[in-house]
Amino acid sequence: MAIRLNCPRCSEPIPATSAGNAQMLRCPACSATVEAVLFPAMLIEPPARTKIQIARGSEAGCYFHARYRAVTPCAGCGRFLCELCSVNVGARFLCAECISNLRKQRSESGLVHHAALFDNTALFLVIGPTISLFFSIFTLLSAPAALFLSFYYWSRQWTLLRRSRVRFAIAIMSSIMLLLGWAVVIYTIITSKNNVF
Amino acid sequence: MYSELGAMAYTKISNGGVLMSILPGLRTKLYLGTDHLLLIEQFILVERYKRFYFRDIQAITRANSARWVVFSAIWGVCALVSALILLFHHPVAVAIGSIFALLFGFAFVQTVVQGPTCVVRLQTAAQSYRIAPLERVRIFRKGMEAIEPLIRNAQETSFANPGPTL
Repeated sequence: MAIRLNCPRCSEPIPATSAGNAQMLRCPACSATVEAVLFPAMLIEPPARTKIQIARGSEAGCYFHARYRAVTPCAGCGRFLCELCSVNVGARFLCAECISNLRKQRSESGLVHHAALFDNTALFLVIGPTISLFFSIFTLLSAPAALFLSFYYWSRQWTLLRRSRVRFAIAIMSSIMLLLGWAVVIYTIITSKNNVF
Repeated sequence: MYSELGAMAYTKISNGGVLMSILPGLRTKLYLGTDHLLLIEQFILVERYKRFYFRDIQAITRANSARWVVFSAIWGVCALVSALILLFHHPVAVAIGSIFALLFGFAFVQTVVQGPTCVVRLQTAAQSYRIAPLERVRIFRKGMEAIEPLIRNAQETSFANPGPTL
């Protein structure tokens, strides 16, 4: 049985057979030697498309598509859902809105697909303008912003895997040092001007 | 199929190499969950999670790449040029040259020690995705030793008892 496999280097299709789990193949396009580890899922035919049925007479219709027959209620909000709208999440069927809400609440880590890194943001706010020299004047604004982010998200930052707070600590220390530096510079300028007049 | 676990224990397979660890915010890491592989792509301020469920993985393909030779040459030449600055015998030149020679030298040694690179792609019925954390031959072999039996076991179980799918 011929199977669909692409070259990892050039993405062109490579002719392969289902014989053997590990194969050494040669890409006809880029001549690369490709090591392919095949799994049983390769031989499984894709499931047939679900048939959506029109609701007749007293049959319950889908909340989102009133014409289609409801097949299951949403486990989150209880709305009736057709084949098209019911999404299987673990052992439950949910509607798209409930999945979206679960993602926002981050109550199910399996549904979350991104997280903002406020520790990196704070670090970049401090280090970015400082090392650029030309934009170092902006640290007057970015250092307090980094300080606020670091303290506010110290215990609020959410990531799927535990993340150390070293970056927050570095951002706090750098911000304080920068602000102290600016305070000294401003004080020096003011006192020198007073001396002139 | 989504997993319904609240907090899942993950085992680290690869964290994208030492050089990438130095640069904050540009890393890809690969973790092993109970029923899926978790690919974490970090791009400065955002972390993206991609899950590849064992039962969906059709194939993992690998082809050797010349990236490590190219990078070894770049770091080597840079280290050599930095070392040449030391010939000026000026204290500032010596200081700058030493710092850069050490940095590039470390990068060169690290690239050589890590060994040959490759391009790795994971294929499912819906997509073919590049798995950057496994793109060293040594790490690929080690990672596959952990991943392959789990995928085979999951697929044998799930295809014997097909359950509801997404």
